[in-house]
Amino acid sequence: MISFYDVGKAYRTGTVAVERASFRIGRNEFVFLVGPSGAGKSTVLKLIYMEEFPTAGRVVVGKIASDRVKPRQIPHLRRKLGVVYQDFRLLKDWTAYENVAIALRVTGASRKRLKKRTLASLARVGLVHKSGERAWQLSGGEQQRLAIARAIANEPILVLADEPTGNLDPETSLGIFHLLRDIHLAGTAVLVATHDAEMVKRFAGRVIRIDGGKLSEDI
Amino acid sequence: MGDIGFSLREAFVGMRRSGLTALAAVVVMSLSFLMLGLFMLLTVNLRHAVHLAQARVEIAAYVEENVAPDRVMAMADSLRQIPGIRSVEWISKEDALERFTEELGDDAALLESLEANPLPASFEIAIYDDYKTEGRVSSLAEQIRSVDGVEDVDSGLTWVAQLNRGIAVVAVLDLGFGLIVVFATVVSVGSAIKLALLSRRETIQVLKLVGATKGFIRTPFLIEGVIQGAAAAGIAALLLWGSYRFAVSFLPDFRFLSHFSLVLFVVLGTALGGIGAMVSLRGLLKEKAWG
Ligand SMILES: Nc1ncnc2c1ncn2[C@@H]1O[C@H](COP(=O)(O)OP(=O)(O)OP(=O)(O)O)[C@@H](O)[C@H]1O
Ligand SMILES: [Mg+2]
Repeated sequence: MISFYDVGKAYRTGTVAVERASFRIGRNEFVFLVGPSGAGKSTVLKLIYMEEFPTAGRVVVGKIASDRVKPRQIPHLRRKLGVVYQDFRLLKDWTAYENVAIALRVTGASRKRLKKRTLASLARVGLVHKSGERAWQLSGGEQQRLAIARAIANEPILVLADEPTGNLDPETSLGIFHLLRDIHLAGTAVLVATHDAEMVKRFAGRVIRIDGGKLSEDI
Repeated sequence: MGDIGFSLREAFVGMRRSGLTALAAVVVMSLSFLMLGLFMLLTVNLRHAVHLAQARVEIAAYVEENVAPDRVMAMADSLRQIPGIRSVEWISKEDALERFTEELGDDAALLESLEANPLPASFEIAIYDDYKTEGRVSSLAEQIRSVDGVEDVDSGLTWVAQLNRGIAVVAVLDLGFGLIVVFATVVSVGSAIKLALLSRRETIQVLKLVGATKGFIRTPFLIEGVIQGAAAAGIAALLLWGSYRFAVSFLPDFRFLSHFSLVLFVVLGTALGGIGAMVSLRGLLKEKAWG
């Protein structure tokens, strides 16, 4: 479903964030992308949802290839992915409900589906009772879960989670990982970028390591 | 797109956020629309005046002194043969004097000192409306002049020609004002939309990330531009009506724009608002890779 072919990414500043990276992630896999801060994890995810483009090699997501994608295809690619951003990217003065609903609104979903999927996603992350609250009124852990709710609202084939436990206490972090694991068990591929090696150990699964932009895989 | 409720809500949020700029845009646009409207009003009334003047155009053919009555009949016949002439009326020297006396009213006493009637006899010639253009009237005048016994021809057309020239100048001014209005509108809507875009940068970013198309993102801003254009055109139309009421109080024949022009005026203003928004969106949403 996702293939990296000798992908390199050098930012305009000269920083090489990813070097000769090749890997595949199939349907319904659960994969950790582990590495220290600045290793290039977020860059790998950005290459997948095509906010950044490789400066060498190519990235293929589903039927879309980074070297041949047309700008107007990108929205449709993003609707098939659910992304949980490192900095959440929630709209602070929108309600929790609206923050989730927007992912369906942009697809032109019917009212019924919009309501059903928004509430189901909020329920999935245990936030239905906070539907009417503004995002800025939620705690860090709640915002994280809200970001996940938005990511799964449109029933994506792949969820990308960038440091989903960044600033959370260990207990809350564990809850988030369980949530992602459940999403995976319900039939969605999940790629989690994290530097939380402890947590990774507790969840046996495929691990891709990245350091200084270079990938390696545990066998 | 398709989600009109959402787009409308976002358009109003945008206008509230960019508050003063949105208001300033509407004010600038109203004023420039009003300027254009006033010129349109002037044009309409000038055209009307010319039209009325043209309807009254008649040609006077002055006749030599002392023509015999039977020659008068023959002259009238040959005048009637000229294509374009609708009717011919004989005004004898006496008729002319009578009319002149009537026109003078109280001052008619002045005429009593005259020994002989100084006024010439003439034919008053009415012509068909299609012949009331500058070129056709002067060619008619030539033909009339060549009729035997006609001494002089007065086509009364020179001032119609002048009015027509005036209209041509006003039309050019209209066009010039039109261009200025287009420019002012596009610039002021553009700057309001730019501010609205900036104030909602974060929202736009999120919309892009969750897979919104350009159209979806653009729609609220387009609606905003259209609303501003429509509001400005509406305000300008009201002010224009006020100016018309004012003018009519001392120029009773003053006319207002036709319903059609008025509708066109408002539609055009609305469209210009949308175009202004589109122009500023084209540049601002053209970020690399839509990311
Ligand atoms: N937009 C950018 N322009 C220039 N350099 C960038 C940009 N984004 C990231 N980098 C650089 O690329 C390298 C990799 O960054 P990246 O964000 O992918 O790391 P990361 O593994 O996600 O780190 P963290 O765990 O701290 O989030 C870093 O050296 C960073 O400074
Ligand atoms: Mg990162």
